[in-house]
Amino acid sequence: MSGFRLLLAVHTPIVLPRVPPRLDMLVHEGLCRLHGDWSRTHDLPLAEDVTAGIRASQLVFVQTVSTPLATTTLAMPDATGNLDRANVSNPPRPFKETGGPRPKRLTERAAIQTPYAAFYGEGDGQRCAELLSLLDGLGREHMRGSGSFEVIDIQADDTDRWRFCAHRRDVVDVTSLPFDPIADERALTPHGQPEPVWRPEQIITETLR
Amino acid sequence: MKNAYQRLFEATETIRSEVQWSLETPTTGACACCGRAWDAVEQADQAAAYQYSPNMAVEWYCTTCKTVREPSQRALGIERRAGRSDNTVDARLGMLPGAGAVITAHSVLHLAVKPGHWDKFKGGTYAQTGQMHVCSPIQLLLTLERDARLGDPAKGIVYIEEFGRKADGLMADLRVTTSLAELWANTENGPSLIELTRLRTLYDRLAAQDSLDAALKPAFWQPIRRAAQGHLDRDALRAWADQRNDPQAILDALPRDPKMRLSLHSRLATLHAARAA
Repeated sequence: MSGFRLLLAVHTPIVLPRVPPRLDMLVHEGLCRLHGDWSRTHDLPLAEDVTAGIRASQLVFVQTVSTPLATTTLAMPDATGNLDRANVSNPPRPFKETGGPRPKRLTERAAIQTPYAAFYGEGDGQRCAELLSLLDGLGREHMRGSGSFEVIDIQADDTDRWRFCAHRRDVVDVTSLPFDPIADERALTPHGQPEPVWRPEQIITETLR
Repeated sequence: MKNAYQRLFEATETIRSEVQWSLETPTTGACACCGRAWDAVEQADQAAAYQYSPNMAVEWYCTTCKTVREPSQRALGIERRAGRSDNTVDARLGMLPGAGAVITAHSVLHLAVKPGHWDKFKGGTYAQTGQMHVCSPIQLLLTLERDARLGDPAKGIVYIEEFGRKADGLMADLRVTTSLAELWANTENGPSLIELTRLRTLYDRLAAQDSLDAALKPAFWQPIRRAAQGHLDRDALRAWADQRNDPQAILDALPRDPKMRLSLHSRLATLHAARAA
C-alpha cells in the first residue's frame, strides 16, 4: 500500500457538515452504492491504522494564489416532512419565509467556494478515485447540487498528510500530530462507535502552487 | 464527554422541577423538534405532547426540547401581561430574542441577557442565584473562562449565541464545543463556527503592531473581506500589506473560515469590549 493524493476540482460550493467529509467514509459510501448494500461494512482499498482507524485524511481545501477560499450563502427549500394538514389554517394564509407557525420555506446555509480539494490516503488511490466518482457531491445538500466535484489528478504522496484526520486519544502521541489537536468524539471506521479522539480543525487548507 | 443536549438537559433541571408533564411512551419515530431517535434522547421512552395552538396538530417532543418551550415564572420570570393584569405570560428559554447562554462543563446554565430582560427576570431563580448576567454571550463566555467557572471545554460546553424565537431551529442542530479553537455558536438559524483562539491571536498581533484601533473599523479589513467574498484585488492587498509592520503575522492569524473574515472588525470589537470589562 502506498501513499497518494487525490486532487478534486470542485464545481459548486461546499456546505460543511458538523463532521467534515473523510476519504474513508466517502469511499465506503461509494462501495455501498456499487453493491447496493448499506447494511454491512465493506472492505476499503485503504490501509488500516492503530491510532486513526483508517489511513485517510479529512477534506483539505486547496486554494490558489489567485483563487483563495470564499464564502457564499446557499438558500435551499427546507424539509417539509413535518408539515401536517392540521397545520394549514382555514382560510389559507400566505406562507412566510421567515417562519411563523410553520417551518421556514428556505434554509440559508453558509458554504465555502474552493477551486480544488484534496484527500490524502494510503492504499489504492486509483480505486478510491473510481469509488468517489459514484458520489453526487461533498458535504450537506449534495443531493441538490452542492459540493459537486470530479477527481482530476492522482499522485503518489509520501508526506503522510493522510494523518490530517481524527486519532484515538488514548493511543496516539499528541505531540506527533501534524495539527493543533481538538478533543472530540468521533467514529473512526464506517459503522464504528464514537470514541475519544484528537482531531484537526474543521477547515484545513493548503495552497496549490 | 457529554453532548449539547445532555448538557442542556442537566442545566435546566430548575425549570423541570416545577412542572408536571404527562409523559407517554412515544409511538413516533423521533422527537418532532430535534429529530433525534427516541433511544438517543436523555429520558428515553418519555415523550411530552406539544401543541402550538388548539388548531395545530399535537407533536411529541423529548423532555429536553419540551423544557426549552416550557414557561417558568419561578426560574425565569414573567415575560409580559396579557389582557387583565392577573393574566401573565411566563418567560421561556425558547422565546428570548437577544439573549444567549453558556452551559459550563459542570452543566450550569448561565444566561446572557439584555438590560430589559434583567428588569423582567431579576426575581427569578436564575437571576437570584447569579446565573443571569447583563452582557453579551461572548463576554459571558470569556468572563466564565477568566473566573475558572467554565470548566474544561474538552468535557463539552454549550454556547448559545441567541435563543431567538424558533426553538425548533435552535434544537434541530445543537452543537457542543470541545475546544475554544472551534466555538460553535448555536442560534435559531443553526450553528456557526467561531475560531476564538485564532481571533485572540489576531487581536494580540494587531495590538503588538499598534494596529488594533484601526482594526476595529470595517475599512481596515476591506481587501480581506472582499477576497473572502470572492473578489480578490491584488493591488489593494499589496497596498494593505505595505501599511503594516508585519503583514504576514496578521495574515497567518486570520480565521480559516472565509465567513468569519466578513465580520472581523465586529468580532474584534466584541473581544476588545470583553477584555476591557
